[in-house]
Amino acid sequence: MKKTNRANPLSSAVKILILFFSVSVHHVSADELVSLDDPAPSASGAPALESLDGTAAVETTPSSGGDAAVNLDDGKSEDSFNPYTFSRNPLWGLLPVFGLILLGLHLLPVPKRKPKNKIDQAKRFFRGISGEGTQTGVKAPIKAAGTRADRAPIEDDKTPIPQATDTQGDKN
Amino acid sequence: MALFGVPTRRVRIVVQTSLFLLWAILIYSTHYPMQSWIATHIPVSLFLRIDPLVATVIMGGMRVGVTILLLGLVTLGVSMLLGRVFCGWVCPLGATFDFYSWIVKKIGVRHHGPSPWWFRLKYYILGAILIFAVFGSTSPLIGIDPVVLITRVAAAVLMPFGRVEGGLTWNIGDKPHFMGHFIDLSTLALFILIMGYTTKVSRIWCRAVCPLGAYLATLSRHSILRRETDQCVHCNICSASCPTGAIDFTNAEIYTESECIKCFICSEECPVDANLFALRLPFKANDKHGQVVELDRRSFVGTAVTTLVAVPFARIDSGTPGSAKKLLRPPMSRDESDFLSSCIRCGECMKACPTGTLKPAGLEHGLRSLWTPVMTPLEAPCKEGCNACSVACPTDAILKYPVEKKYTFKAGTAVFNPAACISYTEGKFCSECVRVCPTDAITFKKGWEPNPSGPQHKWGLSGAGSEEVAPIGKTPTRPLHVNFDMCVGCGACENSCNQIVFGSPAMVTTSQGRTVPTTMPKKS
Repeated sequence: MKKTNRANPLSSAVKILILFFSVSVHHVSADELVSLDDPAPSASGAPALESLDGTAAVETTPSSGGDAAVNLDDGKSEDSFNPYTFSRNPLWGLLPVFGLILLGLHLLPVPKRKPKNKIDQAKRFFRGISGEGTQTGVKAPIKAAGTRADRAPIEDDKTPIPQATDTQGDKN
Repeated sequence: MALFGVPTRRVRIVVQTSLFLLWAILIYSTHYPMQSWIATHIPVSLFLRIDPLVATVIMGGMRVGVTILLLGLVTLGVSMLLGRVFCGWVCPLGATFDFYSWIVKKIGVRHHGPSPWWFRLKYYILGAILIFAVFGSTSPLIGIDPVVLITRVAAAVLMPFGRVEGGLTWNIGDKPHFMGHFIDLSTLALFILIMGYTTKVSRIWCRAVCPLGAYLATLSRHSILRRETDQCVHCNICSASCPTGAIDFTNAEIYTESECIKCFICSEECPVDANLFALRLPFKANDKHGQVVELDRRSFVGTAVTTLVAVPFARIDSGTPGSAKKLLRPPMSRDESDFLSSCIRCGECMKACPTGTLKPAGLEHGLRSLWTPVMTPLEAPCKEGCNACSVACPTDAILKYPVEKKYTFKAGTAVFNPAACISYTEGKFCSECVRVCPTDAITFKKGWEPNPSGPQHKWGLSGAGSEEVAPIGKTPTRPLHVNFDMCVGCGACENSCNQIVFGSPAMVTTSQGRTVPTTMPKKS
């Protein structure tokens, strides 16, 4: 049987993670770079000398830290500010598509529902609480006294009852 | 129905009022230099950032993930779970309607009732906006998003009255060099129309026109917070008191979930406590209690076709000298195409602008530019050391930048016309443009000055604005040309020139060179 030298996917993933992590750790941020425009710090840590006219004198001797990172772009990092650079990702275009799909759901046919006119039952209920008639078929408890007591009960044949059969109105 | 022992409707009113006050405070705080405690701790455009329609349209249209708009996706998720709670609890325009309804009710006007037959219009408006976004564009209809609309009403209609020291103006360019504050008549008319109709039908905007309401309605089709009415006695009190007409008038047990804004008025009005809201699994949108909205397919296809035809037409501007491509936009705005795709016409930048140079564009620059901010140097220049519009912009249409980087990119370029300059035509000493230029972009030729021993100004110029005529045989100090690489298009020269030569300034700021980096020395 032929042996195949297949790498373990778990160990590969760990290696990639370690590699990624080490790269992240050794990343040098822009703030840490030393620009040639700025006066280099002296080895003793003393402040930069000032000339007689008040301007800071630039120390010409190289700093002792030979392995310090040096910015070779001649101080142009200050000019790197550019808010106009951005990257597009076409996947964001799926957001309005998602909205359109949701909207499309409302195009699906809805089974028709028979309108139930239960106004008579309501009338019987209000006759019951106003003492004008007999309350039948209503088992729900009425709210605490006083909450709706001052509300005028619906009277027979005088209260206009909306004739609409659909609260959503006619279709466009 | 109660939340922690307090009736849910009252909890909602407290929350809604508090959020409305927060919105009003944030709008008030949106002014230069944006250093108040509230402006430094809370984004002044918070309510626009949590608007899911704005997030969908801008990020989807530009194909860019705008970090500050990701909050809108949170609202989107909440709406999928709990329904249109944003409309009933958060939306500042909805709060305005509720307050207005409360007043109308107090004076005895009954304005609750069934929705009009055209209440599905909002879904078609939403469809048009989303189709625009799919094609990488932003429809001007985003300007009627409720949060955008109420913000623009505050910024372009109400707030100018708070700054009346410069007077009020109704038309851009009415009064040259007049530091007036522009009132957007189209927004004012729209708002009056809405409030007038609201007197007749409560929350008519939310019922029939609001594209954000339609978006949240589509999301809440399968929400888990549902109304239950097992003990309903069919008194129809809830139907009559529902502010959005979500409850059926013939059978009060049935309601339309996508029209319900979770205001809990029905719960409080119910005489038998039959209106309860409970959490249910979101599997069936159309059950014994709830029904769904069914759109007319023919109307929907008609909307889609009309929008597809309108997309290229909307890109056409009027072609006049002040057409869309030549509009002067705020500093550090995206390029014109991206700017129009990312600007939502909210007016936050106009509110933040300390000089009032930013005004909403009308239809004279094309439909696509309607309500977008335009710099009007004739009225006022862009203030040096100010980035208030950038901070206020909720969608990064005006990119964020630190103040010290303001002049690293151009907003435009001033063009010098010697034929209109009094130092050429009449031999008068002026040089105002040279004095006011913040980037020293105007080169000049030194000549005769009326008072050389007087107080010296920048570049050694003296006798500011004297308008004295040079003696025969001598030429006064006069500007020569504008350095393209150093001019940032702030409009200071045009504004100052106009103070002397009425009507036709010798310096005209154009959008030439916009987004091009400058080569001027680093200064703010």
